[in-house]
Amino acid sequence: MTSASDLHAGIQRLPGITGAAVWRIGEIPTGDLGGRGGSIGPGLLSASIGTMEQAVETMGLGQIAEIWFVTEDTQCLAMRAGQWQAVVIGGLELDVDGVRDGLTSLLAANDEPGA
Amino acid sequence: MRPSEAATLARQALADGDSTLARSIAERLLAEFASYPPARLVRALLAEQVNDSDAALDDLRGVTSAEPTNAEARAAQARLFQRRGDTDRARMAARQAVELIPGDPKVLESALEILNLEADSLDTSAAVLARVHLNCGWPDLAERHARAAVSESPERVDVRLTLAEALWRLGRLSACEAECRVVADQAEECVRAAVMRAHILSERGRTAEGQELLDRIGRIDPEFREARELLGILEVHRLVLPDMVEIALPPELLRQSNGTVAVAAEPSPTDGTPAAASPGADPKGADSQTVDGPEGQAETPGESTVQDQPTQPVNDLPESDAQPDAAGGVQVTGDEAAVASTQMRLDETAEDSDLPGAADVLPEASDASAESAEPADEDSAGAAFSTFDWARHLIEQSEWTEAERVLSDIVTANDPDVSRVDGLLLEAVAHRELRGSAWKLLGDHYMQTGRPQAAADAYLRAANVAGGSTE
Repeated sequence: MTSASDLHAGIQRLPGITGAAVWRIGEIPTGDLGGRGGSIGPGLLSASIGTMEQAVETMGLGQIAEIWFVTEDTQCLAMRAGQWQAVVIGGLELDVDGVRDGLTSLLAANDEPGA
Repeated sequence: MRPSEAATLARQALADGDSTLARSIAERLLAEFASYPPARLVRALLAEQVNDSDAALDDLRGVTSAEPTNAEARAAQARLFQRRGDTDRARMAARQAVELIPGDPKVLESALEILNLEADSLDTSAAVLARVHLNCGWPDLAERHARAAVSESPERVDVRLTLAEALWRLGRLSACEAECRVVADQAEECVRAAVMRAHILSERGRTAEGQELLDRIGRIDPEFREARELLGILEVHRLVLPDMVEIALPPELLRQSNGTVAVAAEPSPTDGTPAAASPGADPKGADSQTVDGPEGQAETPGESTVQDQPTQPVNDLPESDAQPDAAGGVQVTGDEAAVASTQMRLDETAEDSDLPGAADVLPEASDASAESAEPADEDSAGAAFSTFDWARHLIEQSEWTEAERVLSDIVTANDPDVSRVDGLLLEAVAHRELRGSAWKLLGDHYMQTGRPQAAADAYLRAANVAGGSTE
């Protein structure tokens, strides 16, 4: 079974990524956001995105597959694939489409139904 | 008279068909030592005889909590489950009894009967190999097989205890401690795991805490038999084995059992030396151990400096006229026994202790007599060693770093009792020193349990605490 830390290492190798958190549903998010938020950062960002997912589901809009947002110096992409969820951040130069493709294939390749 | 001698008398009476005497002695023992496994086992066997399977199973649960590797208790559980028509659990308990390699052929036969197997058709499982290797003094092999057994049957607490003991004998104390915690969560009163934890604490320089834990063990194992067996393996250690306690059997019970303790009871060690190491004892002790982890040399048990305190000999007891007899046993008359009962009362210790639940561990022992002896109340009798209790204890003792570590382990273990973990962490955030880490752990726990909104709030609070401390 793939561990979250193995997957995190794979995600960090995607071009332009400065931080990432990854977790299986029902587990604790692991990773680091390049020092942003310290040890609480991955959990806080993941929980906040989870809250948004919950709100969207409660409204009957379905399940979010991905969220992207941009701030003055950061882009953030959160994705779900099977049992895995991941949040990655990078600078404004980050190629979001390329990262999305890379992340999708990484998460899908490591998804083990029933795990 | 030592509690084990009284228990032997009870077993003898049970074997002789004198249920009344067996019950009286067992109840007398339980009035003084509410969770004493040999007495609970006698009471369970008596309940089994009269088809009171609820009471029997209740006592057996207590026995297997204190002694998860008690094959006789497992075999008795198997018979009771069988009688109830619960074949699956009966077979599981019988399998467990067989794999614990019982020394008594009757126990083995009883378990094999339920499994409907001949002894020579038993397969050799990893659990059996682990026990055999541990008993032979090969902890490295025991560890390998115990790991395989744990992965096959993660719910088997006896197997996990074997793994913990193998790790302990190898000197891998951090790994052992983690396994002991899992054992304690499944078997809250597990004496062996508690002894190992007490030793590990002392090796980390926290001797007072280790000693305190060891003292608590005396409420379940008043003679510290398991502690003597395990610690006897070590050349030296920092823990002091408390004096053995005595129990006074009323004169009428002694008369019924021919008045001579030495006849039925096994001889008790009176020379003050710890019991001989078990056959599985690693004679090299610390020599084969590795040093790893932040504890450095404290990982190696054999490097301790202080030996245990000799046990108080029976004939050194103050105001006692007990004289050793020719066989090395002690002739105890009723009057002498009555004096002995006032000499060592565990409830005094319990009242003085500020440990959680310590004060209500024992019923009033001072007026305990055969007439007044009542079955011990399970709820008030617990001298539990669970991780949750341990975390609370550490918090009470202001051991913040260790408390944080234990809380982190609890969250990582992802206990299915969500509200229990919630409660513990919410208690922890009330302490300023733990606040930041406890909020973060609470956030982690909320994420594990699918509550992102609460998790975000907890993480934000953790971030605020961290920000506040930075400022």
